[in-house]
Amino acid sequence: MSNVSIQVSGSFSEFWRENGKIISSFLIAIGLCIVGGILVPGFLEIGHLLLMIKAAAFLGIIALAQVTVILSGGGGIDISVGTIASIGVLFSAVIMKGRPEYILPAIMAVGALGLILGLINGYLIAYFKIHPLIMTMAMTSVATGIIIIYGQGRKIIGSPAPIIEDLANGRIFGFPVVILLWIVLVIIGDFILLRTRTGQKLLSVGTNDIAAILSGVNVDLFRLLVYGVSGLVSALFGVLLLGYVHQAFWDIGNSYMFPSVIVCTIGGVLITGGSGRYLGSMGGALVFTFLQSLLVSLRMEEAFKQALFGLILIILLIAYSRESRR
Amino acid sequence: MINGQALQNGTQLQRIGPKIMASPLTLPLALFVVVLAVNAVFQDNMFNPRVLRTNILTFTPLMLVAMGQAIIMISGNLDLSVGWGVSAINCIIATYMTDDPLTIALVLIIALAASICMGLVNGILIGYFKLPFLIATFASSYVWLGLAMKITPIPGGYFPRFFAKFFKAYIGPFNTMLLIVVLCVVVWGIIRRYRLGRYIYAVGSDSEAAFNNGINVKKITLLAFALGWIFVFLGALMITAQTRNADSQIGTPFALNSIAAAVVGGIALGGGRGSIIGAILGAVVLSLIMNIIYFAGIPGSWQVFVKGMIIIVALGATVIYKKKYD
Repeated sequence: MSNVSIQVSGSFSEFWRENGKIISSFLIAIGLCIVGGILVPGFLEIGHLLLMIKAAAFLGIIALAQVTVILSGGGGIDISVGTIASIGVLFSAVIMKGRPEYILPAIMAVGALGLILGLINGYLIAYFKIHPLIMTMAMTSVATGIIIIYGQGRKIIGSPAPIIEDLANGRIFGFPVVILLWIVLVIIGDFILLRTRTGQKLLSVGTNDIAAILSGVNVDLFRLLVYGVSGLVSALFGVLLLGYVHQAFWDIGNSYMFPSVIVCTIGGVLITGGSGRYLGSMGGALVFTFLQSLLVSLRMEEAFKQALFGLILIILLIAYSRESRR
Repeated sequence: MINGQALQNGTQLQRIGPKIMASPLTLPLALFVVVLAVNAVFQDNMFNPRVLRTNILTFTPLMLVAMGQAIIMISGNLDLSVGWGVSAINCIIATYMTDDPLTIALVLIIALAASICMGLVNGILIGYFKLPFLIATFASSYVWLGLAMKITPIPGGYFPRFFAKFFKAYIGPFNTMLLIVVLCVVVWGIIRRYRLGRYIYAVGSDSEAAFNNGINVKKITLLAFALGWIFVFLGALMITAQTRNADSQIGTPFALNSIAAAVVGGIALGGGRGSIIGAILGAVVLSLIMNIIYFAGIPGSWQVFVKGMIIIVALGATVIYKKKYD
């Protein structure tokens, strides 16, 4: 920190190296809005913009879990966030059934389940040294299995309690609450990351295992807990998602599975860990959602839309990886 | 005399024993035998030639795609786009196919070329542009899906009956498809002995060390992908010969199933370890488990859960096993 304050003058390149990707992700998001405004009438209307940002908020909130896991390094990644979120949606709906007095039990039950699944991930990854990608993919299968076994031959009846619905869909002075929630969570996340010892530990573990071990951090335990937190956050996100969609679908969270990773990369979180900010995932989520929304509203042929989505992602990612290429 | 011989046999066993135990194939083979035995218990007519034939027919596409995935994984990467890649190849073949032998040959060549191109694109993105494999292949998979949807907006298509029969035909006791699998194993066995194969393993186990030893890591990554996608093409051809239909969604399950098969087959991600015969065994094990669930009267909803658990068990067993015998 002191280092930065000394070199304030003439350290623009330093500043850019640390924050360039975050800033450019926001610039790209704005650029997409401008392109949308030119091509699609009504794209820049405040109502439509808020709608898009609200959708981005959900992707952004689950991406917070992904950022944490990726930052912890060691090839860290959690593919199971989406499916654990599905579990959160399903079981919170079933427990709550729209009754406000059941919010706490629902949150506690779902949170515990997410925490347990996350800790299983973390235990096998940290102590058995199973590759995180493979482990969390297997967990995806197990978690999907739990949902299917539960949902088989029974109609899933359940709905969010009104408060949860307000949190996900309500507005304060015409401004969606969930966007405020997202901003608050990102600020808290970055505060923890940059200003607390836990955050410094996370970054040091992600940068260099051995250095972290030598400085007295129990790296294995730390990673175990990171995956636990990721599971917990994903499951709780599921409760929020239930408020957004009102009804539980068994594969609702799957659409967040890989996008949560893409969002991190667009936001400048280094996939090998140790470098990045939660703020970056915010920019990434905006870019991802704006791009999808733009392609949808252009009324393109479905085939062309899919291909273009892939192509633009590739171009974006190539542009991003140029700086970090060794 | 007899004693001496026994002694000699004993020492031979002592010499070979650890070698067998340390082979990456031992564990998948054991798993295969167990699953086969369990299946035989529940399915009375399992070894009936007709049942066996049907099983082999349904297993081969996944075997081939898993082999392709295995080669890519041995090189230290992973390809999420093989699923919709299979879709694209399937659509190319079944949409442009006619009864004319010349057209058939032309279509197959185009499909093979398209498949290799898809592999090359992924290889370039990962090898030359240094994109993380997960993100690169996730993005490119949308391009393949778009391609498939462009060629075949609505499922339909044609595949000549006599050509389909060729794949289902028997040459002696051997099925054509099975012969193709065997041929692939032999070809890979040869490649493995030569420089390319050794380099793929070297790059997979430690790309930095490989680079320092003068191996062109970029080129090897590219070639591994191209090679893998030849197998993916064959898998897509097999499934097209069976469904005789073009469908842009047909490949979707292959993405994760091929990875699962390779993992169950003892191929470690980023380990430069494992044999593609393992991937074949993995594919068969996963397919047989579905059989067992069906014939044991377990509700079909348990499939996904059991699959996930098997993957985790196989992963854990591989790790414990490796610690003991490496």
